[in-house]
Amino acid sequence: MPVPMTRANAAARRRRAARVVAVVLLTAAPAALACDPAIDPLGPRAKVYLFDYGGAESADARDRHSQFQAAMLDKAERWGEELSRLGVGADYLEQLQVIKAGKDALAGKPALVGRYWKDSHALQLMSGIVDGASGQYSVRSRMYLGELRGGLESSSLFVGMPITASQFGNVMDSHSIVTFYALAVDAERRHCDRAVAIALLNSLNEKVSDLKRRGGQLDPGVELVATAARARLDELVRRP
Amino acid sequence: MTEAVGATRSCRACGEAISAQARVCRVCKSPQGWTRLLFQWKEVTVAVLALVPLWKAAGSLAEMAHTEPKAPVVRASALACDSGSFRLALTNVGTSAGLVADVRLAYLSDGRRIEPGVDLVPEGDEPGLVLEPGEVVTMALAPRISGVPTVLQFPRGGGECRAIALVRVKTFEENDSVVEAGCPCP
Repeated sequence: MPVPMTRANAAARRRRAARVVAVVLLTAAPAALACDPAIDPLGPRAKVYLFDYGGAESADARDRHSQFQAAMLDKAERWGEELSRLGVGADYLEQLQVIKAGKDALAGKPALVGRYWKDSHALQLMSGIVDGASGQYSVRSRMYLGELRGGLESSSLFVGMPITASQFGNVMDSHSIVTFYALAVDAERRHCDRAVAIALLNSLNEKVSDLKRRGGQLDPGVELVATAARARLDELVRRP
Repeated sequence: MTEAVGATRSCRACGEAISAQARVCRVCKSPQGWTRLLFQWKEVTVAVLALVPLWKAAGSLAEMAHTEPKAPVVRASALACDSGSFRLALTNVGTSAGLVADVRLAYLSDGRRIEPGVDLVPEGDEPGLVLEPGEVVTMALAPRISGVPTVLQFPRGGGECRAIALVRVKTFEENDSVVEAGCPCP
């Protein structure tokens, strides 16, 4: 008996198809994973610069900010594990890292943000504010992707979430989604085998599904990335 | 005796008969001893003496024309490079002081030169450095982009790779030169 096509099972089918394509491409042609070194001799953009967030004036806010930064640094190590499982190439594993960049010297200098992103060979620049005005602490991150915005309208994405113990996993996954999106666009920029971008976007989609399952509503910034990632994944999977 | 007193001879200059003892001719007043030679060759002597200061002046002009102008000659050597810092040794083997104005980063990867727009700034952000002749200094440099700290990303080509510090040296006459020092990418 045919199963009626719903949005949920269409998405599941898309994910399965992407996973199958990624697995086939990654296992069948490992040699092809090499990217074109002539595109960028410096290799993948794999450094996330994490500037100090504003608004962390009180001792409590500073504590929350430190927790957030520590969690981001910890998350970077897990990204390495995830990428290792995806089999997208060793060069990411060696280089992907979150760098604490100290005081946000780029704040209020839009021209400098673009230049810094370009010249530092960054994957993304993270800055933002810690807000505790309503009694509940939240972060609002600005994630600058420069030329890795792909199908997004702007290079700057804003992701805001409460930083409570229960929400910490969601905060980290929301930020990871943006990072994986930037990695996928970077892989395409460097003319890597499409299996790399497919694997990254597929992993991103799984994180989106997990987030929805746990929290229901996605942050608007994350939703924008998820939409752009789905569109790009469909194009890549359909390509002969 | 009488003969001796009245003895005469001819003046060496005008030929008139004068006393054999006379030191100066009574007619033409020319000296009759060795000093006459000075007067006889006075034009030549004056000419030779006049050549001395001229010779000296010519020598000085030649020296000025052929002497190298004083200038700093800075040499650099990279002691260590990693993603967070670059250590340089600098010396001035020239004849005047030089100003190390700024240092920029470049990479040489598989014969291709890449200049990523990263400044290498002395730790502590001291502006410039004056190198006196004969002076040797070492500098720890930190990467910055428009003054904002960053870390270096080295090329990943797999072939030959060098990280190069481009040291711009200025003279006090506002002449610039660039000295390079590099080390293998870590």
